[in-house]
Amino acid sequence: MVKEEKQSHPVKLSSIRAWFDFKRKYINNWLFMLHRFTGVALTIYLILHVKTVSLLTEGKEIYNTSIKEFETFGWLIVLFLIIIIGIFHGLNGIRLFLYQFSFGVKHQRTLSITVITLTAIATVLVAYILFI
Amino acid sequence: MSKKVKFIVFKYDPLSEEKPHYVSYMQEVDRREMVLDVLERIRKNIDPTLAYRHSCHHGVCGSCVALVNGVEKLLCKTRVFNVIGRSNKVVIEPMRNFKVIRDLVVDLEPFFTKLRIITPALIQSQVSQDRETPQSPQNVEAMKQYEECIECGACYSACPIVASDPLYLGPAALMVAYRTCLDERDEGKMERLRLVDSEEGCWRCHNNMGCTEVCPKNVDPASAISGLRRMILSRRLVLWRGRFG
Ligand code: SF4
Ligand code: SF4
Ligand code: FES
Repeated sequence: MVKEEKQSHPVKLSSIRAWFDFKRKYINNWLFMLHRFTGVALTIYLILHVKTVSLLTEGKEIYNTSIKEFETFGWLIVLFLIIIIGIFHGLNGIRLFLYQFSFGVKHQRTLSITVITLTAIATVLVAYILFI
Repeated sequence: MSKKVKFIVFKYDPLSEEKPHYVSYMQEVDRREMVLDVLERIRKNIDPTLAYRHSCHHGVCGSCVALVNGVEKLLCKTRVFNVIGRSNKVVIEPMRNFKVIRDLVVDLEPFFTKLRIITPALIQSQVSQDRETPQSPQNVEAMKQYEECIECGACYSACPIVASDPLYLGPAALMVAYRTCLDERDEGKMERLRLVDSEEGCWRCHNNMGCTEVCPKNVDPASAISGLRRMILSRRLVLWRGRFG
């Protein structure tokens, strides 16, 4: 039996979309994609942070009133996420740094699992500190 | 034991078609059959226009790589029963990062050009006609893993960096550069290191490890790229010490 099928076809030549291919189901690809997502998130946070702190130049009053707006539960969750993202990005960065210079090459899988485990432990700890 | 399996195959003739399409074939498959065996049957009995590369059928020539359910595989060494999962479906597509010539056949020229750039053979100033150049057993051992490469292109297809930067030398060429740099009989080490110590060389790799993950011969090109970086750094360190030490 022969039939025409609808199917999206593989990522095109020279496409940045290839960096985010969920069909590649191996641990280092998940870390590779997460590293990029978290990098972008941290950059956005950094810009927002610098913008908020720069309000100090407009006087103490203005700074204090604007900072009050961040004292909600919603922003606490954002802070929680940023801390976790920062921890993951940092730990994975150390793994990549070691790999770049050929340390632990034969233990890549173990190192990747270590990064995930440490991030999970940090998530629980940070959640405990912030919310309990 | 046999099962009915749906094979969804990528079809495209760039000379006469604007866009690729997929065709599905229901096939009764025996548990011992490889994906290539089924493709052979489809071509013989149903669609004689189906194009794919194959030669040795033993995982030696490296010509039959394609994506099987999204992952680079040697079709001749991939048992259908190992990839169908619960869906009873096998999607076969050409490799990524290559231009399609027809159906599953891709243009491997950029891959081989990059291999040629790094001079994949021994460089020796004096070659004796009547005597072999000896190599220590330790050196043979160090290179053994990298000698397994069958130049199939799977790693090149799996590398996301090749996808975003077509000038990047890619995992196979860099692995061969490392292998020849390891060879104690070779005299081209400095030249090769200079070549790969570049923007499109070993520093372009972002450690996604896709290459190592899909290599059908367990060559581990990612570790070779890391080895190249270490060689380059030690060379720089020596130069630096010479200058300031
Ligand atoms: S390194 Fe592995 S995947 Fe890459 S060309 Fe060689 S055999 Fe194929
Ligand atoms: S480790 Fe480097 S060469 Fe291998 S797939 Fe990743 S980016 Fe490409
Ligand atoms: S046909 Fe030779 S490796 Fe598959």
